[in-house]
Amino acid sequence: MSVLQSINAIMERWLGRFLISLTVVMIATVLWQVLTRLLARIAVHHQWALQLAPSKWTEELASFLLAWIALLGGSLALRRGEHMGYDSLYLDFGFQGRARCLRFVQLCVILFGGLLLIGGAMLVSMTLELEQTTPALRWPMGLVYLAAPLSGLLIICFACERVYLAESEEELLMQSATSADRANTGVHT
Amino acid sequence: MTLALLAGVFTLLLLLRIPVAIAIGLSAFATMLVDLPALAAATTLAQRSVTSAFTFTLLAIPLFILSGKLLAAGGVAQRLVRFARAAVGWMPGGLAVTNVFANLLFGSITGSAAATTSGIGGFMIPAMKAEGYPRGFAAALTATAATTGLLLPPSNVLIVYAMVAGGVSVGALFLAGYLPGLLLCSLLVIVAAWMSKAGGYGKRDQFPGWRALLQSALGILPSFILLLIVMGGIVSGLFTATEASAIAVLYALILVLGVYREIGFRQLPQLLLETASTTGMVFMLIGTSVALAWVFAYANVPELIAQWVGVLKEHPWAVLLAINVILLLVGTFLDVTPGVLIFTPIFLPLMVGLAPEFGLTGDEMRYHFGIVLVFNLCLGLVSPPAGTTLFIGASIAKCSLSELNRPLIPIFATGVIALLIVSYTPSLTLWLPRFWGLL
Repeated sequence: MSVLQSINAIMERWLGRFLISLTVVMIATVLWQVLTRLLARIAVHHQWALQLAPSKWTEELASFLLAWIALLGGSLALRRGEHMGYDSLYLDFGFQGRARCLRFVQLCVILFGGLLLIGGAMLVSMTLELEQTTPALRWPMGLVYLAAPLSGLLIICFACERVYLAESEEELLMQSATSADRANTGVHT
Repeated sequence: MTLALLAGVFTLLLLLRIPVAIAIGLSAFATMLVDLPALAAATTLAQRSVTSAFTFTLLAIPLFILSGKLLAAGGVAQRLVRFARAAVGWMPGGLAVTNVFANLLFGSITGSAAATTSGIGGFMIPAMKAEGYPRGFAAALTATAATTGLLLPPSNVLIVYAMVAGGVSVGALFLAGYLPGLLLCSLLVIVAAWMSKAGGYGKRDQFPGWRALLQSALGILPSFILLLIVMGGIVSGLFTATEASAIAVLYALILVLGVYREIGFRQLPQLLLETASTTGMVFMLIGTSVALAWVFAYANVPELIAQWVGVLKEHPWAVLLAINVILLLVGTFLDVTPGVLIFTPIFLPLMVGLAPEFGLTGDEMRYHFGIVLVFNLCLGLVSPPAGTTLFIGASIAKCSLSELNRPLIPIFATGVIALLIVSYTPSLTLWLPRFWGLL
């Protein structure tokens, strides 16, 4: 068990670094697009001789990065307990009930991760076989879809750890504290 | 049959505390199994998850999340509170009115109800408690006022709506949200002042004088220049919503790191990581909701509902009312983003068909209905017993949800009145976009 825990801790750290780099590149890409589009517009306006075409690849690269950030970030958010859930019934359970409930939740999470893993792997192999590519960059579509099985795999690894932890007191405390933590986390709505 | 299965699985999963996105994903999968083999269903789910994120328009979402986080961490919230207090603190129910106004200002910058509840509530709820306002009242008021952030641009939910509705300009939709958001806030100001007065809560501040007001206004000026650049750029067509969001990130970086200097470069990786994580959460909701919408379309649900509501076709206003009620009920359990993704394909065609009855063109109805839909689902965020922002407000105020219920009744009723006014007065939503020649 402790092996999985330490592997997960390492994976989480590297996942975090990877996501930060992807986000920085994504922002830079969109800013580059704004710049080239504005320059192109100014060039047309002043009838400059040079040809400035707004780059087409930026949109695709940025969307590609978004797909990866979204899928991998989703697994990180699950790890950090940021996803919203309703705990009105959960709070009525006793200790045993809560532990059972938590275990069931994590099993559902594993099932979901499994669907992403298997469905995503199917997509990757299908699109690679058909040699489907993205329109502008001509990258294989399989590369875009690869984010899904990876995310599924991470989700499964993270959730397996929590299945075993479900009975530990620490885990129960953490779970009941999440509604207070939400103040600092869920910012999507 | 399909619908019953779906509703059953979804409710069961939600009650057992499964994260909402996963509950949506698994119930979509379970429903697909009725007609599809398991492998095909899994592939469809994974495919919707990826393709819904592989979209340039939705890139604005992570970027607005980041700029909101930068501004929230960088000291904008307390400056807004200072200005709001100087501007309206002298009114009856001083701090309560300040609370609503500060939520409006902050919501219009961050475009997120949860961020606004925690950002403004973090300052206002303790301040209100210290002045003798009941904590349940403080929390209920903050949670409701914070939902205006979703109506006031830039709003990520409106971007999502523009994508599913198709053929809707984000700029015009953004403009359409202003007046309904302001209406909700003005009504909330009235009810907050009235409740404070009736309950004998708190006291009125003295007007601090024009000089102090001007000084506090200078403190928030940079944040509003940002809003001006973003909205001006989008409305004039100079740049798209996505490009505006990138500019917002750049501007927020310069403002927070260069001018306010309350955080430094050291905190940036943490904020970027939080952004990636929040983005992942939002897109998991989007991906699974898109999969669920696909299941609905596959099972002909939009047509079924159209037939069902079609009974009322003679009375278009009743149709709208029925939709209002359904969305209010559903909004209690469903977050705003999935609500928009799931219900737009179901109700929008119906409403566009009824547009002439409301004296609108089909195109105008797309904008009007978008605002009504989002407004409706926003109220779901604060409708007991399961509203998201209610949880956040209660946890900041350190009180139980049941303590919120009583003060929430008049506040929530005000929200419903505002919703009905907005729903049945299309000219309110459409006035600004028409004025700017976008419709």
